[in-house]
Amino acid sequence: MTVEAARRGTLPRALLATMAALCASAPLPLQASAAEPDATTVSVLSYNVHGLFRWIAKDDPRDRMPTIGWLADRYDVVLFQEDFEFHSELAQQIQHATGRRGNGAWHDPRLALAKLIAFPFTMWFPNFSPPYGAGISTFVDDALLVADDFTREPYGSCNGWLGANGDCWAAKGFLRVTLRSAAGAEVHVYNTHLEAGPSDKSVAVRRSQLEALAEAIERLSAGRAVVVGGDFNVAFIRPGDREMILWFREKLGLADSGAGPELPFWRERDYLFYRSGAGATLSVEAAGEAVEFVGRGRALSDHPALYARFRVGPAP
Amino acid sequence: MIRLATPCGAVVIVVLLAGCSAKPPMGVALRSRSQFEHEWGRYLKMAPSKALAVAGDVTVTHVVGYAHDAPSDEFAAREALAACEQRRGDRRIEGTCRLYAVNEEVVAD
Repeated sequence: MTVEAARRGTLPRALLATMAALCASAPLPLQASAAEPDATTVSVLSYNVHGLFRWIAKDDPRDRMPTIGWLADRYDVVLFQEDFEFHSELAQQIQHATGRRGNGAWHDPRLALAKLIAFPFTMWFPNFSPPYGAGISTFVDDALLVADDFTREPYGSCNGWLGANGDCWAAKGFLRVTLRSAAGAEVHVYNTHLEAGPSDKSVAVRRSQLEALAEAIERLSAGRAVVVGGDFNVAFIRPGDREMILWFREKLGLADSGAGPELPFWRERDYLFYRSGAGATLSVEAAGEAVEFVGRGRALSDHPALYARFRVGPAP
Repeated sequence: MIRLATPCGAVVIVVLLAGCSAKPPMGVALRSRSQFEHEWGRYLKMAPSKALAVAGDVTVTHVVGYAHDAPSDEFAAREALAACEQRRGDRRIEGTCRLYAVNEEVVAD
């Protein structure tokens, strides 16, 4: 984003106000550690941006997406979920990173058919194009990205077209990208958005998706350093969910970064996990809620934005 | 044809008017229920014997641990505290876990 764009008046006023408030507090990404010259600090953001059609989102996502994108540009790695209708609005604001999108919807015959049937209706409405792909995207600072090394796969399972959060309108899946620091430390970063809903059937689908993700991490990143983040839709206090997420962590040897909501109104659904391994040693310098995405009594999404700042060093 | 066109036209007008309605304020309205109220509501639906433990400030950042369907109240309390301690470590919340409720009785000060 440029000063010229601001001068031309192409940026929302709220975004300009946010820019002014935050310019002094922008983080310094990609810092080499003085104590460990081969270590790099990498900031990671995970954010479900609630980027649905405005009548479904019950607000005007087009209005808040530029602000989200501009704020997210301050992080080295950004994991977005639910960017369904507004990926390009986010991407326009992210200047120093390259984005990868998750899987689309056309591989699934049911979704492809639904898309064709819905087209005569959806074509009349801007930013309304269901059904969707995974709705996830990962942006990585150009200085860190290994450009051609990524994987995206759908889970192929869902529960509910009309009830149960309508999860079948999206082909949920995961996206893996690779980072490499200047010192050669490599980390695989996974982004995902799992099945929502509290019903037994939704919990079962969510479990199968988490098992598929664990299998994929074992297959694609065996023994390697990884960061796994996103909207897991796992409520620590929902029977079945806690056991599920503990199983996932134990199976893959993942630690919780500690990123979680700081403000009292959020439910805990989003996580940032990590482990060291072949390729890199990871440790957490700071983690929590990126509270700059909330202001003036309103949030920029219906989820908290989580961040973790990792120290990435070479493997021992 | 006119009988069909009239309701269709009405639907189109309603849809267009809804689309042109006053612009809402930027952002999503924050939840009216707090995270802890939500967790407490979920806990109340669990089967006894059950217990809920808390670390941190429930009006700001906190974690909970719980147990349900336990063979005794004492067992549930121990399990809830252990679960809370694990989550407290994850979230790096200072202070210890304390028992908040056993079954539906709030035991916290």
